[in-house]
Amino acid sequence: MNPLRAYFSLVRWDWAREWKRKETLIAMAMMSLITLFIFSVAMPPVQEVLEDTRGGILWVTFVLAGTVGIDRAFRGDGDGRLLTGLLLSPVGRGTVYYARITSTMLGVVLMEAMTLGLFMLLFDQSLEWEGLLVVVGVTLAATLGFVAVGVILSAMTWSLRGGDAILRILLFPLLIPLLSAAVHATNEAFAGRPIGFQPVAVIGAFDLVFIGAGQLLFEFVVDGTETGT
Amino acid sequence: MPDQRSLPVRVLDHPASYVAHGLLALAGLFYFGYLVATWVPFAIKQLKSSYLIFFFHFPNALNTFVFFGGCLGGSVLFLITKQPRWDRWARCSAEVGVMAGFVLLATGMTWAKAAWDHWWVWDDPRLMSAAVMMLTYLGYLTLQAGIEDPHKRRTFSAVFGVLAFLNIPIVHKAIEWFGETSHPPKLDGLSDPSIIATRWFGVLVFLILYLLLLRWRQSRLTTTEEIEDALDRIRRLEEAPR
Repeated sequence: MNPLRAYFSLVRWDWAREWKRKETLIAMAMMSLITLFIFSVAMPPVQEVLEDTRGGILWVTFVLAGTVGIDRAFRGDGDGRLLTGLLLSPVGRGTVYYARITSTMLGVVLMEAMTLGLFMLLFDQSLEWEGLLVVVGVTLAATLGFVAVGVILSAMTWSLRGGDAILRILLFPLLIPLLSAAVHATNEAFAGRPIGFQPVAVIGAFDLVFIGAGQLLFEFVVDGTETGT
Repeated sequence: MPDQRSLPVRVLDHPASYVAHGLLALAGLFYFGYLVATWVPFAIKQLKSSYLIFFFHFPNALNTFVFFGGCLGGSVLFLITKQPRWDRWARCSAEVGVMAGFVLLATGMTWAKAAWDHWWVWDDPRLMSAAVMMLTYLGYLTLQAGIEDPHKRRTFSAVFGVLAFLNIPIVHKAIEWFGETSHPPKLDGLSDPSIIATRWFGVLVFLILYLLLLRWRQSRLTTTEEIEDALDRIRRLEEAPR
């Protein structure tokens, strides 16, 4: 089967499934809404405080809510049939990996768009067009790295006892460089300043390293899952 | 039954080799202590006395990297060869690396308290990088401890061992760029060849000490895994239809 066609069919199949049930999307949206409200009581939501913290609030919300989606990337109905089904399909492991990144990322990006809108509405923030473009670009690039590393870890942890907690224990420390770059860039964009080269370099390096390593290592993860169960 | 293991393995497994290794580490530590003590008057006169902690901080920083590198090596070799001994190597290296990392953080924090009157400074890139690295490898050890099936445990841990090491340079660069550097600047007198020699001697002494811990942990883990394998075989034989 042509890998590109297989890739698109896998993504389409995934989305048809998710769109019918909307379970993961609703869980991510709820998590995002709850996190924003927790922030509103955890710190004074006044302009002076928000000037330094808005990037942080957004990215902590993105990561906490996005991890809910990533956790379900292979879990499916909880019985592991999703991964078995994917592996039985006549497509290469690399295609399965990229298709999983794409379909998980689509869900996470939808949640992020909703979170950004809600954040600006609830916390009374505004962005110029250029700033909005920068925030969207940074968000897309950083989400790619976040999901790429998350999908690999999710493939490892979905079948473990307490796997959801282990996923977070493994994923969050790995995300710290990506987060510090994304938070910095988002804060600069909200303040109307240029973001500079450094956040772009960190996010770009993270994406490249973890997508490359992810594709190589996905094979081993699948091998471990197949012979271990 | 005659011992079929190769000669180097038999020598390394012999209790006498552990005693010799331990004595070497002990002698090295004493001599290192003596060397550091000779720097006390100089440090008090020309530098801050808190600088002395650096003699312990630097060797542990390097050894943390050495053992996390060992974890990467073991992980990659396990993924290629599927031999459990490489997983044991990776796991024990990570354990010893985390231990060296704790000493690194403790000495770093003590320095921070002496220099800036705070135990922890969030904007110091090296302290932060070390802490993030430690969190990542504590995650690795959580994964090793959290999976019962040996094949899954070894494979998944090896995969994470690779990811964890790949992240180290990115973490360091990111925190250096987005934090503010307040790590001890280079002070006059530190380029003195004998200070550098003392520092590197410390690296060697701590390496010998940590290698002893690595060997001890590995031998214990090997025994545990062999017993588990034997029990597993007996269980399967008992369950097999007669």
